[in-house]
Amino acid sequence: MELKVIIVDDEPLSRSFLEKYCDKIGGLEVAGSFEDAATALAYLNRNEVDLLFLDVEMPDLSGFQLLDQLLYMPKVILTTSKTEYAFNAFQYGVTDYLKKPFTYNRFQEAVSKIKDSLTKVAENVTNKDTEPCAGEIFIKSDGKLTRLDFHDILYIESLGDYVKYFTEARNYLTLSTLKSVEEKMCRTNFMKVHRSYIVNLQKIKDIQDNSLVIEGNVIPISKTFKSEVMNRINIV
Amino acid sequence: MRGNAFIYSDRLDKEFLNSLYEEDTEYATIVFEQFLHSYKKQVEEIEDSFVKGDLQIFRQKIHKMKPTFSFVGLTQLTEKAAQLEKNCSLLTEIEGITTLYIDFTNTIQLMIPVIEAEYKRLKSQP
Repeated sequence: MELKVIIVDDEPLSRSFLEKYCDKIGGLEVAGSFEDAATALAYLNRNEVDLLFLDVEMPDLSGFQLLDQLLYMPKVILTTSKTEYAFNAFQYGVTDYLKKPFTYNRFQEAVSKIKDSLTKVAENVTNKDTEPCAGEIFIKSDGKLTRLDFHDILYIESLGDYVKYFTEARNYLTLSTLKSVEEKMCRTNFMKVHRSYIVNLQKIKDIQDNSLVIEGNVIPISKTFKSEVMNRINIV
Repeated sequence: MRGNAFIYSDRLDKEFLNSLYEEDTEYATIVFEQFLHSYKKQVEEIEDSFVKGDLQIFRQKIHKMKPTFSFVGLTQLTEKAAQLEKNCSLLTEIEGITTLYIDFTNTIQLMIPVIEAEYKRLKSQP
């Protein structure tokens, strides 16, 4: 699988190194190399890429500001000469963080992480997401076990030690965690879009920026999951 | 790619250069050439912002140039640039970094002939 990548860095030598390393490692197609984030942003919002090598500090628009304005979230490897951005990098769900100047070995490690994570996603799709989405779960609510058919569930929200199931008829509060719920849900139709939400993809009315709407309820989409959401829905 | 017998100058960070280029001296030659081609303009821009006392632009220019020193084995200049950048964010007046800045520019002037000599050696590799 060849990954389509772009490089964004205002420093020509840094771009040159990345281009060279991408060529050397193989399996990466450099679709563009940009010296400013605004031009890269315009490109990214017209062309989908798999991986973004992104500098943080650039004039006019920073790497993080670029990520804020993206319509989808590709895999990201930050390339910066400052370690102070590590926490922000974590918040944005970037896969790795290369401190400039970095060696080819370090570059290889970062790209391996990307390839591994994409392989896992692909396996997940093959093994689970194609399972038929019929059936139900039983939840403990109001002192009894209540049957919920998958197709009736709109979305599920995490509320501390509880989760709340939203259906068109009513809502159900149960003592549970979103993680354990996620394991039991049919993955063809359900996916996690935020650390506090699992949604039924069949019930999404619209998506705008970093949120979606189900039955009039606005549900946030975190940056980490945005790319997968966009991949899962059928965009014309 | 050329042969693997090239030994970098002792005045440069040989270990880092070896890990960066491995045996690819052809690419090292290109990078040294690019550095020599571009450093003057960048140093002039840094000097200009220093003279104008524009701390923010000065910090941005230093930040941008910081990793490029290491690409030619001047890791000590990358460290000096990092120190300057850090001090910029702590100060309100550029005068506070004068001593560090003079040391930084003096080191550049001192090391450029070394880079030029290394570029010639790299270029003359069989």
